[in-house]
Amino acid sequence: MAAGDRESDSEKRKEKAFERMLADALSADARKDCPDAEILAAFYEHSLASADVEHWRAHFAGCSRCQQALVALAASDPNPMAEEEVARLGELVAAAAAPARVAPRPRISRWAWFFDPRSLAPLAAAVIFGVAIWVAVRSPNVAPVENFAIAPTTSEALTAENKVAPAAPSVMAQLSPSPSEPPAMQVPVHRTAREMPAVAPATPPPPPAAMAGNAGSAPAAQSSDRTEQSAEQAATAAPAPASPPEQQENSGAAASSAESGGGATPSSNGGVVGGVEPLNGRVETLTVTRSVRAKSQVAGFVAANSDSQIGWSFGGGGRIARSSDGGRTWVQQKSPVQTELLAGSAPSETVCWLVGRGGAIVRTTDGVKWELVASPEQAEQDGRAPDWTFVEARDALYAVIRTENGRRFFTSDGGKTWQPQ
Amino acid sequence: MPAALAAALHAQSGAARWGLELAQFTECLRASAARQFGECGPGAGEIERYLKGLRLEDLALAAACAAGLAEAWEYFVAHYREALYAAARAIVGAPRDEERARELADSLYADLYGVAGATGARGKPLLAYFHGRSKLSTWLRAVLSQRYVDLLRAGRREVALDEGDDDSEGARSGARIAVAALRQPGETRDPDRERYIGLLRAALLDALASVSDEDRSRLRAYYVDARTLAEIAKRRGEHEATASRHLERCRRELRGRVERRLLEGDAPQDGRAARPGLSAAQVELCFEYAVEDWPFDLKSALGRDGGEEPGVT
Repeated sequence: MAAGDRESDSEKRKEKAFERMLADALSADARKDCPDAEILAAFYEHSLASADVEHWRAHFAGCSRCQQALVALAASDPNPMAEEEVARLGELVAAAAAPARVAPRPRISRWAWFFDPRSLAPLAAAVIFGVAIWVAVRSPNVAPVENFAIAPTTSEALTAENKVAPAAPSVMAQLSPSPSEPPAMQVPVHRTAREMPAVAPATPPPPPAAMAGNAGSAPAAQSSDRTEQSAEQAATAAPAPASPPEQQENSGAAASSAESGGGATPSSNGGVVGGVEPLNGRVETLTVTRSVRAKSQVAGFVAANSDSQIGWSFGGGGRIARSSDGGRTWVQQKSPVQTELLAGSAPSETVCWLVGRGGAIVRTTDGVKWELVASPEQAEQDGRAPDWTFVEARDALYAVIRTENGRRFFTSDGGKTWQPQ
Repeated sequence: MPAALAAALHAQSGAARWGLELAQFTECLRASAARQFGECGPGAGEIERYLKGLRLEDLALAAACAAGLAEAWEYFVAHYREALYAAARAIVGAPRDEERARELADSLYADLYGVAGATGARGKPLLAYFHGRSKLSTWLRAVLSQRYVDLLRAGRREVALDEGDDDSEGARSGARIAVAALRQPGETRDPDRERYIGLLRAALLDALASVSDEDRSRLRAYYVDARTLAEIAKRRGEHEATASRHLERCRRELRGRVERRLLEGDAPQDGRAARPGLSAAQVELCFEYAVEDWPFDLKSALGRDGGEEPGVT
């Protein structure tokens, strides 16, 4: 090799070494603002304080490293998925699979801006949408009065924890409340990302006086902040539907959008939501609605699914009402409890679980008759049943409930027995 | 912290099962609260609420493992090791790459215990960094996720910088090498080598500090996020050739600053003595060593120096 060639090669190697160090230095510089693993895990589990959630959500919106870590975290989630979902994932993985090689100048697919599907496990890409939606609907530091209605996309398969099946390889998208969102009972599925306006996160207003009695613990205080934050967001949303007497003032709605350039932007309820680009090229999005408690006694309502006209509202004094016409009219139903009901989950048009204060757990399996479900004794503290502030049900038998301070229990036999989770 | 509260939480956590003393557990609680509140000095009520909301059982187990208590480790191995492997497989995409998944899980497992370096002596266990704000299983997966992402990104940068590389397994082999490098005993190094690389790195960091925000964003997009020139150009609303020119300019200016800094040396600052400038030959040596020494960079990138918290550099 000629001396000139050797010198040229030497210079090339030095240039590459310099670029390598430059990349490492830039990467280290970018990482210094990233959260440690515990914060990442707590964010994923929705156990961060609401102020922290907002802070980290803003960070995740612009950090591809953290977005990728969240993808990997979701991919490694061991929660079981329905068989149909597993089969469907097989197709999705095949469709999403890309060469393992990363080209010298990596060419990232136009719809995978913030992570390289060829680097991350194809399974991670395939499951992210469903798991991300599952995460999105779970309430961090659950407010005592929140409940969510999930509008699935093309797949109706539900997992053990109400995960929604991904319809296609997922992208990270921004979940943003839409001012023009119709009422919670009518949950549309937006067909194009461009229909989804971006809304800046609302600043949490001061908690209302009505919630002061609940502010006995940090989670409760955070819950009231979140509730009021939701109320503020909801105030900019469309008016509430025709609703039962004492219905809430308004409903908040959040919608996801997806196209290129998404990135894993956490949802307004603390989860991570992915938009979907199905193989037919049409972008489907999910809409997650959240109803908030304002001044009325009714805590909220829950719909069976986006296309269903069936839903239930619930609230103070154990009140339960059912609508079969999309919320235009309501029929009061006989409730087995008189304590305030705070959260609900309706896996179908005939099955609904509601939970509330003083250990209240009620369930209907025919959409009409409500029965009392025994609260887990292990949850009692000082001989007092806890306030259940969250429920997710897969069907009439399987449900997960959670107290205000994060203690979780699950049943797989319709509430006959409960296990701590 | 009130003794009664600590005792109650100690009892609730089941720490006695592992032989974890009240004093040890109380220290864990204090560390967790300090991590959460820092210097804020919150009220006793707020601290109590925070502590009661922790995953106490998991915290006790992690603390007992970090303390090296055998029963706790037996339980941890029995209940978490397979889950760790399963998580690694899910992240890596096994069964395509079972070996890489196992290497990833094993490297984490070793750090959880606290094995460090060639001697195998026990360093600070990674489990000591768990403070109970999440489930232990989720924390483990988060550590694994961050670690894997960093490995991939480092491996991808390694491949991306090698133009004309036809290795179709470039990224994966990069990550594989990276994982193997973590597990291999370190070589005996020429002390000057370390010094030169350190000088080069310091000069680079110094040069980066003076880069404009726009150029920094451009450099990050290319080197950290691995965007193509077309994507960078599109995002900035410019032509791809323009993006390429700007990137080349940034790189050239940075290298020039680094070399000047190495040649000129450092003035005395903050109690540090002045550093004389290097000769041109020594500057060349800095770059030569950098060419040969990328595992050093990788370890720094992973933040495994000095017992740093996982996910923090």
